Amino acid sequence: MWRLIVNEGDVYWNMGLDEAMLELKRKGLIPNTLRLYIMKPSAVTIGYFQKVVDAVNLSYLEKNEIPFTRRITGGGSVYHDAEGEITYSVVADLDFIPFDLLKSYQFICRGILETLSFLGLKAKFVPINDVVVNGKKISGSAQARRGNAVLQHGTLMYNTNLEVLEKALKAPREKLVDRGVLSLKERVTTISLELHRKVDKKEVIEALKKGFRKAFNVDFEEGGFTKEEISLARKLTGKYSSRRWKFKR
Amino acid sequence: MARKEIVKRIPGGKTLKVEVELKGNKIEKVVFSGDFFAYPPEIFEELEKSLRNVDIEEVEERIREYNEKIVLLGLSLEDVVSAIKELLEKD
Repeated sequence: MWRLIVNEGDVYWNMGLDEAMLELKRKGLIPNTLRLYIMKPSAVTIGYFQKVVDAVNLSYLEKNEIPFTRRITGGGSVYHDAEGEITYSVVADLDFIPFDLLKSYQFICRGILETLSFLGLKAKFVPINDVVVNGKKISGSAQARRGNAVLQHGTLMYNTNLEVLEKALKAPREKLVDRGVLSLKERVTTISLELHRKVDKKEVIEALKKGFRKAFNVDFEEGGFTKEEISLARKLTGKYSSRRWKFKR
Repeated sequence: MARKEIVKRIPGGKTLKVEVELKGNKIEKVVFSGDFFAYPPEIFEELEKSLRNVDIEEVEERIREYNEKIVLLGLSLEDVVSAIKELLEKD
């Protein structure tokens, strides 16, 4: 039986929770968990190895009061729209997750593929870490491992404001040229855009529960955080909100 | 002291930026950045640190020492080597 948690909070708290869960899973103190969460207020996260100046438009973020932080996971910059995106995190051990890195990304992303299938969309996994619909990215994931524990978190854009996304994030020119497109908006999409109707948060959360249940063939029991998780997450929130961590690169 | 940088888009993969600070024939500091994945991340950072105050000729070998110690996704250690070589060779 897996634990399922659905919550919302600011980006520092949510990143603190993800890392706390990874640490405590490493110590064998928490069950395998699927967490579905919302960044409130809307926020940006950048990959562990990214340089802030190359990943985001800082002045735009400041002007629009969009907080950002650095993840412990690699990958690129992400805009988490409070009214348009659900972030998932899977915390499990290598008894369940395939050991091979590339296979493990694919394995976990099957949860997103099944979710989209339940919503009536045909999606494809594109290695290393993307899920696309009609050739456009709708979900991206990133993974960290510590000991026997795996944390993979990722986005699912159901109604992200792509105007804001394009202004908030920087994609290296080389990446866009390589894909033969001029702007971010031409290579990303949302569930609402693909279904031609406004999909709401509740519907997406229900689909995510069903999607991961099917992909992992496990049952979920809704639960809360343990005392240790809250305590460790609180400590880590300090790190995620610190200038030193954010501007590491 | 000279500062140089290069950005490489790995076909079918991620983007790597290399910035070096050079003093004469030595690398004072190198910073790798990008949207790639490296496991474990701390060992990748150790690789960066190990290139401080290294002669340009030794760089390739130093990087290749990490072949068995890290797994990269979105680029390979050889991509890192060729990027830094290209950077060191250009004006």
